[in-house]
Amino acid sequence: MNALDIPAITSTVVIMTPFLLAAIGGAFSAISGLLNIALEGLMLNAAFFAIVFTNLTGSLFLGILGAIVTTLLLTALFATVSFKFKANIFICGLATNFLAIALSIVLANAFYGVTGSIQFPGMPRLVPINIPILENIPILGNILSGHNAIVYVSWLLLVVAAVVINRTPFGMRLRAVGINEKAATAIGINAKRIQFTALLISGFTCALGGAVLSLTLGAFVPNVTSGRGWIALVIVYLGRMKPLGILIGSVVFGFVDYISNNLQATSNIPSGLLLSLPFFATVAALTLYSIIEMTMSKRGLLKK
Amino acid sequence: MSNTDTRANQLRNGLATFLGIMTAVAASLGVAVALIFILSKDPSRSLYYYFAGPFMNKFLFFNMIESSIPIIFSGLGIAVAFRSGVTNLGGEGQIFAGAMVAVLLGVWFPELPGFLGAVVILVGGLTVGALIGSLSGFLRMKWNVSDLLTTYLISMGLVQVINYLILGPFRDPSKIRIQSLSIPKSYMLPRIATPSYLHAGLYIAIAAVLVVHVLMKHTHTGYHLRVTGSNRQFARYGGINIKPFYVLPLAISGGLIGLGGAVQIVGRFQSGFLDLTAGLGWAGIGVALIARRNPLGVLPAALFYVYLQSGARVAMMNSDVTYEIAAIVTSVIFYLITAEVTFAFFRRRLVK
Amino acid sequence: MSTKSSVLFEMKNIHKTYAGNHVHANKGVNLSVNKGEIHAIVGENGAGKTTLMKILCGLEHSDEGEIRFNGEPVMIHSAHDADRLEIGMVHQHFCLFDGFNVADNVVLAKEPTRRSLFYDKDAAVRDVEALGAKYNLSVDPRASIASLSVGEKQRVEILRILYRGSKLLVLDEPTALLTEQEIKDFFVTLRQLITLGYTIIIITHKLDEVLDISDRVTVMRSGEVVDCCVTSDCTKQGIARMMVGKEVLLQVDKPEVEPGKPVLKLEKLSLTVPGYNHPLLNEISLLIREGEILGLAGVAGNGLDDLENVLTGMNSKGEVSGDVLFHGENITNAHPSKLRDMGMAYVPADRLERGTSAELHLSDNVILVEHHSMVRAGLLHAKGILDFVKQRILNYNIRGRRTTPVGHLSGGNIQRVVLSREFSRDPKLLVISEPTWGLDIVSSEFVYQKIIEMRSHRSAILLISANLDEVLALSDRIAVIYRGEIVGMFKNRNLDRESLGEYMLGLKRQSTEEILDGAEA
Repeated sequence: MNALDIPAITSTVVIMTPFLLAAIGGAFSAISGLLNIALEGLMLNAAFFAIVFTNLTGSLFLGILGAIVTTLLLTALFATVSFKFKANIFICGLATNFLAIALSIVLANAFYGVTGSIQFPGMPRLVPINIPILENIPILGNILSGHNAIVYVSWLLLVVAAVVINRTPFGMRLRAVGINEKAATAIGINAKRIQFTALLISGFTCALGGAVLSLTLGAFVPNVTSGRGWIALVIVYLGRMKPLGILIGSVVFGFVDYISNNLQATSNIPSGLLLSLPFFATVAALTLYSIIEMTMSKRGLLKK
Repeated sequence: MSNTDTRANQLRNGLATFLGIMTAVAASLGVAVALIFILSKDPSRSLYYYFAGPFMNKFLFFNMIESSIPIIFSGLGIAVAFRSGVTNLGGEGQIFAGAMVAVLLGVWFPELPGFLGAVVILVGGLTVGALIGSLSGFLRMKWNVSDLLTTYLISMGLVQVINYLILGPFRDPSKIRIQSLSIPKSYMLPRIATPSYLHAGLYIAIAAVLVVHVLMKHTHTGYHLRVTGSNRQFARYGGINIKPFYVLPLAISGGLIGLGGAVQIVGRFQSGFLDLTAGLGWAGIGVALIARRNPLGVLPAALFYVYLQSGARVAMMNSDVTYEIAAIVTSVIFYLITAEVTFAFFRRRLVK
Repeated sequence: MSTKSSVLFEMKNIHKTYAGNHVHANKGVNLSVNKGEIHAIVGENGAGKTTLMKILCGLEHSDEGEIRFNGEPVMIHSAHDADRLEIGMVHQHFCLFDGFNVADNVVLAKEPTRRSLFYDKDAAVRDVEALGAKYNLSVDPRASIASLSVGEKQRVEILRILYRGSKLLVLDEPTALLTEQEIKDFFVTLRQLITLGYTIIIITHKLDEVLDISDRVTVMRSGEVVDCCVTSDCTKQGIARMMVGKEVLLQVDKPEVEPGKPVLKLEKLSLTVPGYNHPLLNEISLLIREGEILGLAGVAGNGLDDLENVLTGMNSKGEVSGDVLFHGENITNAHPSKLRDMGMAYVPADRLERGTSAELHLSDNVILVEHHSMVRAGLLHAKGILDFVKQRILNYNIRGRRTTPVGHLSGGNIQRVVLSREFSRDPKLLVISEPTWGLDIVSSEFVYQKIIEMRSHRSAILLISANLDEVLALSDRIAVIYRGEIVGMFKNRNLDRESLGEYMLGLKRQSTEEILDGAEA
């Protein structure tokens, strides 16, 4: 089997999208100095409501909008409790993850009387869009064309994120707060508001990430995110919170995910073992990264 | 430079903390009531079963106590980790691994005398949990890899592997339900309140609470754990070799949780199945926080936690609410249990 | 001078108690500052000066009191509010951000934009260049913060508040880290700013500077204003008396102790850290004997804390060369546990993060070193610990209970907790760093008395301190460190502050022979 054939490229691009989206949002939180471990729950929440609203309105656009609005509400709850009530942000993040799972089950039961997967026949799904001219270029066409709308939006968001972080006053303040929150406050930056905004941005990108998961599947499956939010968190750190690093990280983990999916279909390795691959690969990557970082800083090579 | 730390004030401080916890609890129960009114067609019936359910008869009551057993272990494990300044988000995988190893040992060594069999299994569960925890501790000690992330990721990977073992090589083909092979019946702990499921694992859980309390509060090692957990620089300054204190607390934490998994097998289930953990590892975090990281507090905190869950379970059987209502209620507790506002309110009024 | 000019702002009856440690930092403070003056606020560490200014700048909130600006009552809730009133503060610890260049740092929080969306880097550089030229505060706008000297960093901070249009400049201990020449330049700048219509508040405890630069001076002591007067009517002694509340600042009775055998010997001890172009410690040689206090004086940032870390096994960076001999045994890079076993005790400068654990009970803090010997049958011996801790609380007059978390105690009591632990084992060698930083007079005197007691018990004592008065009052011999090197070594007889100060600032240095002679003396 050739791992780098054409379907591999197309699939990797699609599979990496939730990672990329969650990591973009996670980067905003991380740059402002917050470890946002709620990415997982926020994505799950969006995956659920994307199906609910798409079914309700019959429109993919409104479905995605509904996912964004509900996820922003959940993020606002999370951020309010940790900032206004001064609760430990890490525990609040966990709470958000639990709440998202519980909400999806309780509401599915309340709305549709079912537990487990939700699927509606005839509900619209995200479909690939081909870009004229580009699609005819070999390989590059497979990378750049033939994906659904949210995939394109995720690329756009990556560029926007890079511009916002590096070229706008908000980005400057965001970084300043992350470097030294106290000092930033002392010179008149409202650090808490910046961090609140950063969390909301996480909520927004995670909403898209969750929507792309369930809307390509055309169904909501419990635990559809299966740890992607956590892996995205790792991608943020391995990518050093830089847009390019995040892109590379998302490609790598998208590819690992693709391989583990692909091997399930084509090899004798039991699928259960392959499902564990992304997690162990992430631990290995984290460890390798830390080893390299430690050696470099010992030799004084690391720029601070 | 006033000195305000009188004995009376210390008591008031404690009372304020207690009231703060109660506020979080009351708020979460308030949310439960509100949810039931919104979601149930017959709210009064649902409410009755939710709150009174676990006390309706001995069977339900002792089953509630039984369901607290694994949560006592995971709560203890997390409390030790938090006290010692490390984070263990791998409770799910550690419970599952402890349970799976229990099954494997029971299947591989079916001929041991009953008591010895149980002991071997329990030691096995404890050991494997400790090893899993130590791995994250080792990565942290050696290369400063975040224990928060690795405990979670390793645990998630393990869950997949164990799912595979249950579905594949160790599946019991004679059963319709998907489950693993079973351990010999002679290894099972005695039931202590039939017809309920409550088993002698409760005694092990209580013993574990006492042992951990003594360990943390009254031993040399426990002192070192607390000192390094509160301030590593201070510990090193005092001449404590802090290097092992990423590995040791995570080993103890993982060991306790793994032991909890093994107890589930020898006490309750006899065989492994998918979703055996069902959030027990996460519940441990909530319990440890309600207990304010205090081992002795884990016991009442775990009982309270399972009361919320058991109520939902009884309500589900007897009315139209879903069990996951309990999950919403517990996430409210998670939100509020560390909120300074909750505690500051009482402290301001009580402590002068 | 400008006593008749109009009042810019008044603070009336300001009260502030910190919730965390119950320190009553401001007790009904009144302050009035005129337009166009340089107003000095003086007081010892912990007198409440910085707290008062933070309240003015919206960074702390008073529990009680009123602020009137140009006669109007105002509420200042945040730095943003202060900004609107054109108040700007330069903090003692600079608020500069690595990773941004000078221009970015200056304009941060008030950035120039292109198309009101994007940050205009070029405009920032231009503005900062122009501003620097206008006020004679030249710094390269494109330079990275890490490459600047302390003086340059301070200029960046001042440029920032000028850029933001502040008319009232609050400067907290601005000269603390500056060299003599930098201070002179700095004062020229301040005088120039006054002629341009600015008002300046300068917080300091250096009296010469107060007399040199200010128009009026407000003296604070333990949270209260003692007096406010026109500087030209004051004398240094008068201000000092008001600051301290007593005639004499430091009078420590030292009994005669004949120094004994050598205890600690440093031979060409150096510390090099990648990324620094000079060694942080450079071939330091010292000797300390039984019953002797060696004072190590220097300005912060010259290696005091590095030496403290290296000697006590707490150093975590760079490479150490040379030898540290403790009773003849080489202990370079030894772990603190070994040093403690050999009889070293250590009172660290950072008593909150290193010397204690805020979260742990007083009792757990006190037994840190002693707990090894308190094990009975595998368990910590509860009765033994109880007696031990009770005794310490009594002997060191600690106002707290055994179960009080140390973080709830006041600064003076926290230091007593540290001393009660470190002084309790009859140490052979005692490393003490900044023992009275931030303490009130009563606590300071208690600390001095205990140090002298240890000297009488024939401990060898290394006293590391940036507080010259303290070094002069306690030491038998004094070493001065500048840029990681020993530049002077003196017997403490007939020494005066001024000449030592010249060594500390690198203006003078002894010959290598003199230093080596002094080291062995």
